[in-house]
Amino acid sequence: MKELLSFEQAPPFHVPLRFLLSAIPFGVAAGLLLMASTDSLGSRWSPTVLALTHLITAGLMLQAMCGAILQITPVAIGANVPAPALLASFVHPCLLIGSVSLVAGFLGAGAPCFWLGAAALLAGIVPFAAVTLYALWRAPVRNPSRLAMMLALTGLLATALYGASLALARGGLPSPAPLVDTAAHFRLGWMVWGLALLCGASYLVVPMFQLTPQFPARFQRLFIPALALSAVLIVLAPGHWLVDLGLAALATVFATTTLLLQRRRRRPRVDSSFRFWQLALLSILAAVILSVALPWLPEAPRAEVLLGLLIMIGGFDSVICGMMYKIVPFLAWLHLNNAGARPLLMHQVIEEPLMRQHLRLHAAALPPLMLSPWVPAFTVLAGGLLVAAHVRQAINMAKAIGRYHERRTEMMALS
Amino acid sequence: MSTLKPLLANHHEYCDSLFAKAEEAANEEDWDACETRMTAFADALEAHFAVEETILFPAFEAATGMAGGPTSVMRGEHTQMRELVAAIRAATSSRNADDFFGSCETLVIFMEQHNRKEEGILYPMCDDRIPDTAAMAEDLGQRLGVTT
Repeated sequence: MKELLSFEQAPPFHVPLRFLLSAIPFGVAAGLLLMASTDSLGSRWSPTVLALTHLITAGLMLQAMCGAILQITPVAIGANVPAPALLASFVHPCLLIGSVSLVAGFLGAGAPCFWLGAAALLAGIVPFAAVTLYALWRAPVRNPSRLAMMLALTGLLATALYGASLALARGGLPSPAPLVDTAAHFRLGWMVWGLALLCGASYLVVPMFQLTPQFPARFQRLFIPALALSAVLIVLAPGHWLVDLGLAALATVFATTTLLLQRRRRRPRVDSSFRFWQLALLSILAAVILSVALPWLPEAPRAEVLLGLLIMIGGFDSVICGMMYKIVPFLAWLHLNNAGARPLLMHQVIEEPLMRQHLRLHAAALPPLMLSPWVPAFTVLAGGLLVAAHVRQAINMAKAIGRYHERRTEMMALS
Repeated sequence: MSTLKPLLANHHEYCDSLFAKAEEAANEEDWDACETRMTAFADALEAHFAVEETILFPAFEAATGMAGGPTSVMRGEHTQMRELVAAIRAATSSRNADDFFGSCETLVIFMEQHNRKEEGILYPMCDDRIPDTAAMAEDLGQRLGVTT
């Protein structure tokens, strides 16, 4: 009991930071890949689209998720992750090797890349999910965010199992047939892992960042159980139109509820982080409309690529950028403050105009990106803007870390 | 029976609303109103810290025998919040909008994560372990000027 109530479970700064910072190069790589592609966004099965998808999901999203979970769950849910630095030192390189190998495999580097990708990703994801699920299960706080995080981690495990089977099959090795199923793999990834994680994080940070009311009690009671039921149905009947309709309804309810809550915020100033959130939620709503209209659209394969781009870049990439601009400056302040260094307030860690530059580049990349499945000429422009946006993000983060280390060095010189 | 948690969670909410009003005044560049509202917020926050540090935490420590545990961390966080409030009030006096909003940003996140920990773990434990929480809630309610 004493251990559960220790409250001082926040991991060292470098633990979440190594994951959060590693997410950014995957965004740069996604932009470079787009710049190098020609008419290769015509179908979701093209090697470029598969590589792009896994740069964002197995690369950017997975790194950001690990960083956020290791930071948020101990502090906000009381989930005491044992030896977080040790866990990170094993999981982080596994995930990096796995996602890079997988992407190389899709780009034609040969079957061994698929084998290494599957093995390394599983080697990173399984212990990470097992340790954090155990910590969440034992956590003293029984709030809806805890349940959402547990579903997200279970969804991640299921996605990884399907993904590894698919990668082994692509690499010419025998795989368990029921798991070689792309329909279940990407639905579990985006709708269970991704949406449950977004929901769990939103329960905590949307009221915290903007002083909005809490999510409605009925929403908090029903949303995650409904998503969990959908996950079971995805496994039982992947791609069934009724299940997809249910998933679209859940995504609509989540995005609409969050947007409405944000309209009731009590903080008067709107910053770049908030705009990134709005961009993400509007992209999710656009993706829902597109997913429902998909069967009636001409050139459905290109519209399917647009759907993926809306979810991954418009949705998850945007919200991750918005989260990072709160989490990293806050942690820099917190760790300096706890160490007794001269205070460095959040707005001094990364200045708002620098974040706004990133937001503008990111938002400018979205229109050409969404048109690129139909107009290949836009792909280079979209890729260039995406590279510029993530390079700006990398520079902003480098400044933040530089300032943090400056203050720590100053403190150590004085002591 | 849950008696302390709703009372103190409601008072967190009350402090949030006072803080939001002060920030709103600064956003409208009405620094005089901001100063008045920030004083009201700082007073309410200080009253909240006082009932916790002088009544609630000692009662929790006596009931559980845990003097160096969560209450010690909460006291430390109160000190950090007091420093941030002082920085905000200094920025208000000097009409420095950048420092005002920067300090507010840091305080909001720190204060909200502090409140989540208290409401999620500490207050339920207090309700569970402290004897006669109804009498204590009535006392704290009177000191904070709110009803249970």
